[in-house]
Amino acid sequence: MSSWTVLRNLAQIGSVYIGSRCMVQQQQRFVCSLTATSSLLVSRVPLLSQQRYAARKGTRDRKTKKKNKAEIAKKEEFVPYKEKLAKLHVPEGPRRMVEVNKPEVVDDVYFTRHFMTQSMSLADAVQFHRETNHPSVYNSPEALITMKVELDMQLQKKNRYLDNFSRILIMPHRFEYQPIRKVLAFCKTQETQDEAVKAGADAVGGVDLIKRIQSGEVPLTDYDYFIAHNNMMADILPLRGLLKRKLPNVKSGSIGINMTKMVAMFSKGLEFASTRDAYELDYGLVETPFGNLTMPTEELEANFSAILKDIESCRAKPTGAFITRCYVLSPPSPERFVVSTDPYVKIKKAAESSSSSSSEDEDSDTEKEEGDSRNQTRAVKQQ
Amino acid sequence: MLRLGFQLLGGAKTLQPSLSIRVEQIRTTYVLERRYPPHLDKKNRPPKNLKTKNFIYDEIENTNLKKEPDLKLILTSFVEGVGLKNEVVTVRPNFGRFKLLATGLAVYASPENLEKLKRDLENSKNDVQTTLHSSRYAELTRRDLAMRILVVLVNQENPWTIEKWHIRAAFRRSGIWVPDHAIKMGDRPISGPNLELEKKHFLVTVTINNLETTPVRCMIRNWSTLPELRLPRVDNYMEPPFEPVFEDERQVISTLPLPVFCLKKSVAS
Repeated sequence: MSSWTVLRNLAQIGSVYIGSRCMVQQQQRFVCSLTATSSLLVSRVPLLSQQRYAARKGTRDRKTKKKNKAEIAKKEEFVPYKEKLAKLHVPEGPRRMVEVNKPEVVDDVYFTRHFMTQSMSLADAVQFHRETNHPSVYNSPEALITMKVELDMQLQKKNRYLDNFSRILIMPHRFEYQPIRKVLAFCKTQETQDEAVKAGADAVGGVDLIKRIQSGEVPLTDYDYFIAHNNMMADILPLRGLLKRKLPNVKSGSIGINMTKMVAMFSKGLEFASTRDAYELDYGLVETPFGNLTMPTEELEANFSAILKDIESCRAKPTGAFITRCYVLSPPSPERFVVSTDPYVKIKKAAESSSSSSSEDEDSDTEKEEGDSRNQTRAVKQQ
Repeated sequence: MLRLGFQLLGGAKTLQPSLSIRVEQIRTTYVLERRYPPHLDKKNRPPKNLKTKNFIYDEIENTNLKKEPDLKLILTSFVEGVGLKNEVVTVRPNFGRFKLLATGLAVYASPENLEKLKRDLENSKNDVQTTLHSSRYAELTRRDLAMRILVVLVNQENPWTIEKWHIRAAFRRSGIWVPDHAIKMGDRPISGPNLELEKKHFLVTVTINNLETTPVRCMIRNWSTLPELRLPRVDNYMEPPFEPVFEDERQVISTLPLPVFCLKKSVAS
């Protein structure tokens, strides 16, 4: 009997059991075992069409749900083109200087790159910059002296970071750096108006000025800052739409009683702001000049200390170091020195954290409140 | 075999019992935990047999992957970059075994050895080693300094005379910390503005820890605040021949070792 006849017979057998798949499979297996050559041909035998039933309703639902979920996960969030470009050029390595496996300094003469960085006092750093910018070397003895302060922006909660902050500060010793800014002062009484003018406000007015601003007679673009006396607090509210973020408020210190101080601060104070790193989210940097090389060292130290204390008041966490490192530079000198901030800013330790609630920063305050309320709820549950 | 091992390990210098170097410690210890621990047996009954699933384990610790702790050694002689003689140092184990213990430069800081070291130090009152080397890095620093060509920037327009602080600042800018007391300048003053001194060398002497001394080549480079007045850019300005400011220093300047980048170039060509 040739293999062909066998096949034909088998096909007939198979057609008898329509619908019972297992039987056909058995036959197929049987054919395969007969001859090696016939096994190839068996696959040509038409497979018996099977009745397909829909799955149960619950199963169908489950499967559709799963499918939908996968689709949702696939959809990517819209990222602007510029941000996408920025993400393509991720900077290599961390922003902070990392020193590992370097020994401490032993000798009095050493190659700095082989050893841990030594921080120095501000007086030394200033002296060294004076040497480099001396007329006989770089010839810029009146160069500005700048500080770069690295901050730890991590809040107490995980993956939460402090927002950028900007500050205005009256320096203990003024130096020429920023152009004088224009200030408009809102005050009701004649006395306070005189006070503001004397202090150097560029425009002063009461309710009538507000009306003129609303009518468009006074252009707002001429002024950089707007301040108001305490008794004008309610009157300036209609200007919210026009002034927007420049509207005087208590938090920024632009509403108060002492007009002289406020005008001086907003027109002649030193402006500085923190910048957060786009990739290293807990890295913040404040870069601001704090004097000239011609100023005496004591005055520079006073300015340096004032800025550091102001930055420290914006701290993110109640404990731990907020200012992680401070560099002092003075271009065109290519040098930068790490200056120790310990004499100017006290590091808050964990033990002091319970008593220190005078932090000005809103974020950390809210954090703390949240933490407290959670503790209270827990306590209630326990009772 | 035993004797051979003894010799290889430094003979009598190692106070450890010397084994054959072929006998290596093989760490194959794993700490495991049963995934399905067997239940307790009943009282006064023979214990039940363990089932197959009782033999499934979870790994808790693999000692092969554990970092070996550092070695504590006593140096028997001065080792550059590691320590002075009789100093107790902590090093990585492989470095300690292959470079220090095997060559006899160190012994284990066992209680007996420490005791012996203490006794030896008491007996020998004068410290001979400190007169040879001031610290473990000083000799390295000295050698690197001798290779160095220090660029001393001076202004083109303003008058100057090179002083100690000029040298100190130049060292600092090139990443070397040198205090004032470590620098010794020549007696003859060098002053300007003088464009003829451009690229010329003079010598200063640096003393590390009041002990290791080396002359260092300094090269004068003119610089102007105004970019248009600056001298044109010159490539390979640190390569020989070196022209001295003072003719009698020519001998020393030419005999000092060349900087590393010059050596690499000579090898390549």
